[in-house]
Amino acid sequence: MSILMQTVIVAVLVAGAAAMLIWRTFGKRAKPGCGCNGCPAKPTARR
Amino acid sequence: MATTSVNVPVDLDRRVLSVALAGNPNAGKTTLFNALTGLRQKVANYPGITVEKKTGRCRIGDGWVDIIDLPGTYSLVAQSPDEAVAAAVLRGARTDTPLPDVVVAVVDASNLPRNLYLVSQLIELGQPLVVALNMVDIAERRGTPVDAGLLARELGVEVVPLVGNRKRGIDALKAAIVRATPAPVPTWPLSEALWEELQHVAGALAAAAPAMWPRQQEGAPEAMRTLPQVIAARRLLGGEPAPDLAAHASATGVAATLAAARLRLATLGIDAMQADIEARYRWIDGIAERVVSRDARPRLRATLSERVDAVLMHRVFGLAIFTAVMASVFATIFWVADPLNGWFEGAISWLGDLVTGHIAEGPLKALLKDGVFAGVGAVVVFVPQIALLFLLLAVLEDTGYLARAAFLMDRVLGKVGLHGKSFIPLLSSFACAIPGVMATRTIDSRRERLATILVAPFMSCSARLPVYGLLIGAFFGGLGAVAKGMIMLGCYALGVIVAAAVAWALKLAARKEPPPAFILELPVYKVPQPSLIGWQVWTNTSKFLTKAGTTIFCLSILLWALAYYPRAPQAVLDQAATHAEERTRAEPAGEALDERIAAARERAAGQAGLEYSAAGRLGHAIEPVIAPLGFDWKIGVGLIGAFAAREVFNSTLSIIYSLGAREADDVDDLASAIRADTRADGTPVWRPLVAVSLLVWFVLAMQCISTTAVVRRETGGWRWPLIQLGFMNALAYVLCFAVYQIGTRLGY
Repeated sequence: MSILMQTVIVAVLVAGAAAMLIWRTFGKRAKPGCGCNGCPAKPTARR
Repeated sequence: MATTSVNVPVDLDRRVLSVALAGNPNAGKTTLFNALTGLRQKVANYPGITVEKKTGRCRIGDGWVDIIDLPGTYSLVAQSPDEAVAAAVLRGARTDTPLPDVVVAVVDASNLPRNLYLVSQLIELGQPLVVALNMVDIAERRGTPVDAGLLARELGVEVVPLVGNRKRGIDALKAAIVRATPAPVPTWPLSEALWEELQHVAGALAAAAPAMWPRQQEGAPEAMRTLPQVIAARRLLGGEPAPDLAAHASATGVAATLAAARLRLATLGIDAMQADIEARYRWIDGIAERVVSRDARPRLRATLSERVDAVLMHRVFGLAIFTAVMASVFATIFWVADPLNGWFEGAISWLGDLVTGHIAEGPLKALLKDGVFAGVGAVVVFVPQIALLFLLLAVLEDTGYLARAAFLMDRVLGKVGLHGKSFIPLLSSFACAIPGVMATRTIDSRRERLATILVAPFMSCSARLPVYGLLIGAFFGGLGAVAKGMIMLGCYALGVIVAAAVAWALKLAARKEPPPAFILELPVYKVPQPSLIGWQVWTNTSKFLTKAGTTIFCLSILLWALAYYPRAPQAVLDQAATHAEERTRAEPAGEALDERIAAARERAAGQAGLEYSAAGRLGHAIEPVIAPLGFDWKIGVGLIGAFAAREVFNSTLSIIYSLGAREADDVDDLASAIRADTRADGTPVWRPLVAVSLLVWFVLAMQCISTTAVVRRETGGWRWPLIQLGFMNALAYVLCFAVYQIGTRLGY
């Protein structure tokens, strides 16, 4: 795999990671919570 | 006793019914909720676990039912925020939750009279009611079995005997929910004068807003047409803070009638609320007398529980035993999990080589090897510690021992201005500060609730465990498991001590109020349930792994990019390599000089590339601020990363040391890499004192954005979270400074 191809893939991965973090922090469904199933910060339990 | 019912059958044609589970704290509501819905909400053998309503869905017959698990409450007259949630849902005063179609009163059969007080209020709601008589096995073992059939006849509703944690009686409960009808409202034994005033106020309520009482009036017997108004009048006369009745109470005519009634009752020396409570208890005592059998010889188990409590809750020995138990927990973590860590490290390294082995040298290979595998791997290796910690805590919790610890701590907490009820939120904070902050809703006093919220993040959460594990393992690895366990216990204890000191300072600063009484029911001792413990371990471990696979994975990629780009020009790398070669040649001659020169050149070029990167520049920019604490720029970058999530400190160091290392260096083991790191002058970057200073930082600093967001929500503004953020980090800085500077002067 050429360096150019590797650089392109890396750029996509870095942009994806940044987008994912922004979505998880500020996205529509982002709620403060510790992430656990029983977290009292989440009002609705999900299967 | 004369009773009257207003029959409102459950509307089975509605597609989704809603059923609320209400009951006293620790009556087993969440256990029942889990059994009904198949969900796995957190349950524990102590009260105050549920502080917000939870909704889950289950199938009963052909239809779907929404089950609402409410926080425990002793009364519908709410004292604390969590009780207010329960009362508001049951009275239909929440905009986000419809009035429940059926109320299931979860009653602890081993404590029937106290539980029936809430039932007496639930009856007055006029909603279809079912009594879930939980923990009948414990009542039988205690020699106080309850006659469920007789209780059903007394209350006029179905009573379903249950053992919630063994899922016994669940099908019968489901069937009873479908058949539920409202309970007949007893005619409470109130004085004649009080009845008379109630009728006055009820009449005023009915006249002021007849449209507000439609449902109860349909089909009601003539004598009790004004029953809902009488109930409302009792609440208003008793002085209950009743937001749902505010509109009625302020209606023309009602306010004046209410004031006149209160005045007349005061003249007669009648306290309406007290009279109401006494009337209910007279009714309850009569029922309990008839339905609870008294075994003349209580079984051995109850006696055994008391004997154990005599030792574990002793004023002096109790605290000593608690300390010893916690020390054993931490020693066990190192003793058992240390060998497993090595296995995990090996597995991650093998996987990294397997994935990147066929990729040519370049940015993608560097990203996978030095970013993803080094970054995520540095956190994932601590899975055994996390799993073991939660296993041991779950065992202590499920046996009922941790609830005893709350009693032991009440005396200590009271002296520093915290309430005994602060213990459960602080205990929850050892897993994560977010449920801890939420759990403060059980605290009635706003001042003590705020104090608990402010100090809760001082408790060492599970996100700190990987950092403690790395630093203790790297610099105190030669010590035995017991000594390492004691150091870790010291970290946890430091958080508790500082929290107590801060709470004490807040107590001095705030106005003095008489401390409210601490009432906490001691749950019975019981053999831990393997399924429950297994689930808790799995929940917490999977949460840790999920975070590693999502947030930490993404952060590792970004941190790697910051530490990799911009790439240093070749001239900069050559210059660093030349300087390193000159320094090596100036050293006293030894064996294999050429090899040493080559190694020094390669390492210096790696370091120069790292320092040229964005992360390197950022680290160097903040280095003057953190240098007095003993931290170099690499640690500085790690501390910045840790503000996203504390575990990211390990990831950041792992990425930086992987990128800055030579190919031949052993960077699979982060602990070895940080121990071997040296400054340009050859002195070690890391010393045990630096590790201690860092441990102090991680114990005390406020680094969790999610916790700040929850504190903002719970305190209703930005003022307190910002104060918390400021004082915790300032305190951490000052103490780290003191530790490092004093330690350095003492020669450490």
